[in-house]
Amino acid sequence: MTDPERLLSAAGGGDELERELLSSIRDVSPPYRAKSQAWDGIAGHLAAAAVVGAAGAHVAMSAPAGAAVKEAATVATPVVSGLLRAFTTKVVLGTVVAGSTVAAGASWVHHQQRPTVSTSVSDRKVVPAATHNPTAVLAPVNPPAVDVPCGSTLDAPPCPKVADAPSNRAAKQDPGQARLLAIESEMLTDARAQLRSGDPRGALAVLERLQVRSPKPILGQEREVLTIQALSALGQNETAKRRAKAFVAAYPNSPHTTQLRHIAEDP
Amino acid sequence: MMSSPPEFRAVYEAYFDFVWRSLRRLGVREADTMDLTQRVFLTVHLRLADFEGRSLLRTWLFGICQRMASDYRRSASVRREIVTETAELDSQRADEDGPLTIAESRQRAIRAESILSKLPEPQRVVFVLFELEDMSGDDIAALLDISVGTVRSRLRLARETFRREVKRLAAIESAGRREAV
Repeated sequence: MTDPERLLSAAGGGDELERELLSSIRDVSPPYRAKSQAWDGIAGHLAAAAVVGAAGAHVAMSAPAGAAVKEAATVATPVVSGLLRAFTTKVVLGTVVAGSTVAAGASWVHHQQRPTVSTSVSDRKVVPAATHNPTAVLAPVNPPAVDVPCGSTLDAPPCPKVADAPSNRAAKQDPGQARLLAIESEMLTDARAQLRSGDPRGALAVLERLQVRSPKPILGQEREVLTIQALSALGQNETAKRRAKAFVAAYPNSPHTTQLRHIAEDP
Repeated sequence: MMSSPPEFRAVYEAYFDFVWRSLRRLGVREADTMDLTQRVFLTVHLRLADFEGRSLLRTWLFGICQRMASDYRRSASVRREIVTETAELDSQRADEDGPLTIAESRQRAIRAESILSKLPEPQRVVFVLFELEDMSGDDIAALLDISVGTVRSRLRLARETFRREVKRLAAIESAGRREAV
């Protein structure tokens, strides 16, 4: 038995409206530069995971992992390399964490810039989240403890001998930390999606739940960036500006600083 | 002797388009596809070393996409966004002064996605892979690890639902045009 004719084909028997509808959604190819942008985000996330794993101090690097890291480092794009260097100059990196640091389902990805895809929300009806005041309890995040320059003191871990690039080999690490990272990543992704869909209150509600669940977050910078962006979207400009300035002052070399500078410097 | 698992970057380069398109076909909105695509590849990065090659890599990747898309559709933020027929008609009236081609194309896409979202997921997957990705029944069966007979059965049911919904849409549009006259 052979396959039937496709509805879009002349012999498929589809009527004009059916073919029009199917034609309208036929092309779902990624936009120009989506591939490189996605790679930048993935590399950034894996670099962040590497920081977490090193801070957990339960990481081992096997020889195959080292070889994989070297290969990954050499194929990294200049943008990715720059991102990794900028992000990791002030962090502890005793070893490189491999893929298992990102627990199954870990989902938050660091974006260097917004993707080129766009969506119109004019034809969507967004049902707002349950009303409450999520902004009252979102305190600024204290700088995470990992911002200790490597080799800066006798107690600080030595600087890594290999580039802090993604590895695709599993490594041992604290399972509790990995689970917490997965939860935080999931919730940050949810918050970001709500912010993008035009629901900053919904985003703040998620961030509030994240704060309750993880008072000392691993991805604290990311949480603070999203909070500031949501506050700005809500029109709470003074609060957003104050927190953006504090963030830029605390993390001048953070890759997030670029996103927040326009809020911090807005007159 | 088992060959070494494919390198992550090589998998990324070879399958990025496939993952992106798969997520879109599985109902992920355009605005969210970048995030979901990255999540898929982070999962791939995590689990690639454990891929034993018992299935095609493409099948394995598609399975990850299916689970991601399924979780995505269940998430609260996606459930709260409702694309209603009223909103679509409002959009149509608002766009009457704009370039008809762009507005009509956008409206058609919205309606098409709305109709496809009414299909049960197993049927939707087969329908879009066959009708829009031009995959053969055999390829779909291999991808989804089901029989060709199951592929054809799901396709038939999906087509019935699709055609029924398109007829309903045609009736609504016809009623709308009569009101406008």
